[in-house]
Amino acid sequence: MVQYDRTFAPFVVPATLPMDLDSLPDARWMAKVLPNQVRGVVADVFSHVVDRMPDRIRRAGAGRMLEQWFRRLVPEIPGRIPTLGDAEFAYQRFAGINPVTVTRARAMGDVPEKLRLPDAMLSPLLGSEQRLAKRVLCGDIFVQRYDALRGLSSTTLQGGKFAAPGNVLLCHAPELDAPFEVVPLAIECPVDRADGATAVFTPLDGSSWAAAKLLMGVADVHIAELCLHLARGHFMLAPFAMAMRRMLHPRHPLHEFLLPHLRFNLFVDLFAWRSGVRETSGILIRTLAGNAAWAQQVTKTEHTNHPYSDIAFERCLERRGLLDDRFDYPYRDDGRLVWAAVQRFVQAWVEHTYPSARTLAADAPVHAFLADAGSPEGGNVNGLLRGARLDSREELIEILTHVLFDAGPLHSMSHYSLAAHLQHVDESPAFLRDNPLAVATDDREQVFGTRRSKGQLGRVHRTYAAYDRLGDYRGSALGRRADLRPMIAAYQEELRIVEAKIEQRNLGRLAPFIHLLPSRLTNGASI
Amino acid sequence: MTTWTNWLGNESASTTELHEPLTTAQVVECVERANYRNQRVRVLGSGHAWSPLVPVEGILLSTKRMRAIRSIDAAQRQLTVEAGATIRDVVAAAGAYGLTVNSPSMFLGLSVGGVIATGSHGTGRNSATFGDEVVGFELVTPDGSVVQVSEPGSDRWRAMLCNLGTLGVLTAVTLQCHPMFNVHEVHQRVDRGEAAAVIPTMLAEHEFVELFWVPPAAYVKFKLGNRTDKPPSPVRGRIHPTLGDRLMAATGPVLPYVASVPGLVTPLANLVYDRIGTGTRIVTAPDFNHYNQAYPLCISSEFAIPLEHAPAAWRWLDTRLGRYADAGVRPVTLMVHARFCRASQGFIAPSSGRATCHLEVLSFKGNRHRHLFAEDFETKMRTEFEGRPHWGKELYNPAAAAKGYGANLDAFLEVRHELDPTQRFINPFLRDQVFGLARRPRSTRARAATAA
Repeated sequence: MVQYDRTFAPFVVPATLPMDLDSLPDARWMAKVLPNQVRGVVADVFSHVVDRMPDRIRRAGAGRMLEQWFRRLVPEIPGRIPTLGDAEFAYQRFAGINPVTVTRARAMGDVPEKLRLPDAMLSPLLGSEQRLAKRVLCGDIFVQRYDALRGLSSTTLQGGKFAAPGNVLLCHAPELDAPFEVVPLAIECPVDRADGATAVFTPLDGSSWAAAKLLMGVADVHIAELCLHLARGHFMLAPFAMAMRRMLHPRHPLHEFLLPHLRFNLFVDLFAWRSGVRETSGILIRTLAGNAAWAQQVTKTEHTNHPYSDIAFERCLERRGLLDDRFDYPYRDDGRLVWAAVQRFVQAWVEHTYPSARTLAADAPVHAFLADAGSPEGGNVNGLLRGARLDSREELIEILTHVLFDAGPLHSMSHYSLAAHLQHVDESPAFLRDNPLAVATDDREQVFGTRRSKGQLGRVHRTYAAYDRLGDYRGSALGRRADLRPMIAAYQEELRIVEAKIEQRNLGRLAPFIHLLPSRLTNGASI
Repeated sequence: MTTWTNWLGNESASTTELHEPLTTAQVVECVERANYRNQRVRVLGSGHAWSPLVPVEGILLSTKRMRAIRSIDAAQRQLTVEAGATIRDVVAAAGAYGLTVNSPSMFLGLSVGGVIATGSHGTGRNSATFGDEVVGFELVTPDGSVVQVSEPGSDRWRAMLCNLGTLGVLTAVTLQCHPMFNVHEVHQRVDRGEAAAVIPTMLAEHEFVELFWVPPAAYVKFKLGNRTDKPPSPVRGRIHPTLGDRLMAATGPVLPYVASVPGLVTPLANLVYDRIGTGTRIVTAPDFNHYNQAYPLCISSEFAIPLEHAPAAWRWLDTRLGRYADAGVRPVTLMVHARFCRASQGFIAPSSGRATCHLEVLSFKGNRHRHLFAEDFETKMRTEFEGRPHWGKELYNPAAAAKGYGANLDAFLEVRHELDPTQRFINPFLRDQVFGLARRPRSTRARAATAA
């Protein structure tokens, strides 16, 4: 039986990897992943050569020629959201690598103190006489906090790297001539040390504003990687993957149902923990700014701050005040379509498998599975069940939809959008050498040394693989069940319709958001 | 992903695609593809702008293969060329028919589209910008349709005269040429302290006036010209580079070091002045305009100030740079250059609506003192002399760059919004830092256009 390892508590990871065929990578996984290992090596060699090339030679065309050859071997990862510009900066909060933390300010108290802009400061930013309190009342003000990154200091930062927490203030202002209806108003961030004094910058602050945006870009990469991708995409699913193996027989219908979505979790999570996050030399921590202890702490905040049900799709939107659709919020709008399709599929399966509440109540292994996943002695999923025991089919539908959505769409969105974002090492603000606000304007380029890319490009390409496609159950026990085929076909048809709707939406957006297109999503976190 | 870098290497862009269409139809195809994929587009000229007009995360569309001379109407003296043609192509084509163009840029390697987009100019009492000589534009609009803009004086035509590449893809223009004429060229050295005082006299007496100073040299140089019926004498190294020009270009990287040695300032100034020309002679108009083919790696900052401010502005430059020189600091290592033009009709051409002195300071790349002076220069020109910066040159304070245009800017943005309501052809630099669109309420007209 799989045993829990609690060294990364409150998360659990498997103490050892089960040696059964359902837990180990199969030939298909190898076939998908191995070419990317080769691409990763090519990317590393390319980075190594280009980064060490004298500037003059690179500019003379040698760099471009190498890049062209590199692109023939390693194709571009699609879906990068532009980063240049203020509209793009605002759009990133709603469609970028981390679209799940921006929050509507319901009262002035929700706005960080330093970002409560006086009228004289706010009005030029919005082109007319304005009062922040009034815009807050209208529900136009949004705040993105990077509080989770607090704790960064000279002792927790890796040598030669820099990142800092901060707060971003945004306003929904459709009356302005901006290509996205939400515009950034101000950023509060440290001007020197990561844990030092902060100052407020606005779009009228020229190069300081650009530097503040870069700092927030770096913060965003850290939140996206640690809180969204690792915590929610991997480690919050590990308890379910372990409980499934511990409490459900491989032929149990729920095991069959969950396996395509949780199949590689133990293998990937164990690898992510041991080789990626446990030590500062880990492959993941190396590409971030803080050390391993700090990164682990940040990852854990996602577990400790919110009960599991609070991070379910709609609940999370509600908590952040973003349920209404006054403007295009690609993560919410596309996510709703995908969530609804997943939910209908789960509902069809639950109703098919458990025709009545009584049949569900009588299925002891299901209750044992949920109890094990939610118990502090087991998987420690915080607030998994409403009561002491699963009380209805609706609750099961809710839980399973959440698990399937996080394992597939949410993980895919996070993983592949990060890959697309981080592949452009030369313009990615992921790795700063110093606080750009603390150096003279002329020297700011120096804080983005090209060697920062070391390892980043290779890692991005090594892990850019997709095992399957959302709704595709070929080769699994679920897919072989004749009685479930109509249900799966209906699910696939719905996903096709969702795909077309999102593609249509993307034509009118500031930039296409492709990371919730069903064709780009997988069933589970397989990488 | 393709990386693009401008000629100096101070601006670069990593873009998804770089297209080099050959025909207007191919441009339309590119624009339609960008629309279909919802990507931003910027148009590339010859890549000689110092300011970040190009960088965009999307598609770069270079017109460098669109260089055809489409037609020459000798009777109307009109020349239709594609936007990727260089000034050299235009000068040569017009010359073959005994024609010349007004106000071309001094450097011949620039593309027609780029020169028009940035409101670039030559010199002369009767010249505005190169764009002001255009009587018809062929434009691929952001929705992919091909339109002709040929109603001089209309809002759209005035917006086209200096468009910053934000109205669509300019694919061809019809230029109004003039009969070839000759110029009596005179080079005159004047004591540095007297230069400002003699500017009005020089302007009154000459149609073409240019002023050069290699600070802190003790004298400045006037290049003067008037039309003449006398036959021209052949001049080497004007339109076509000589071996000397090529050698000068090759020695370009050495010049900054030469310029940094105080004792070599005077010999360098002599060399620069001599290369511009010496003595007196009769030359054709193109030979007068295009006097230098070797462009060292330098950074230029230019302001267009009302003509009446020219003496005071020059005096200020002389004093200010003199003070720096006394302190052993040389923020301007190449030269100070002044040209004088008539008013442009372009909405946002720097010389819009007023006879103008274009005052330019050039420093070699890598001059660490340059920034010391850049802010001074920008503030003084803008606040005291009503200066407007040249769009293609260094924009030290982009937020202030558009402020000197008043209602003209609104008119330009209205035309722009009409043509490009989805902001596909504007890059973040222009949108956020220069025009500050996200801080401007949409006009009623613009809102209606968006709704439509």
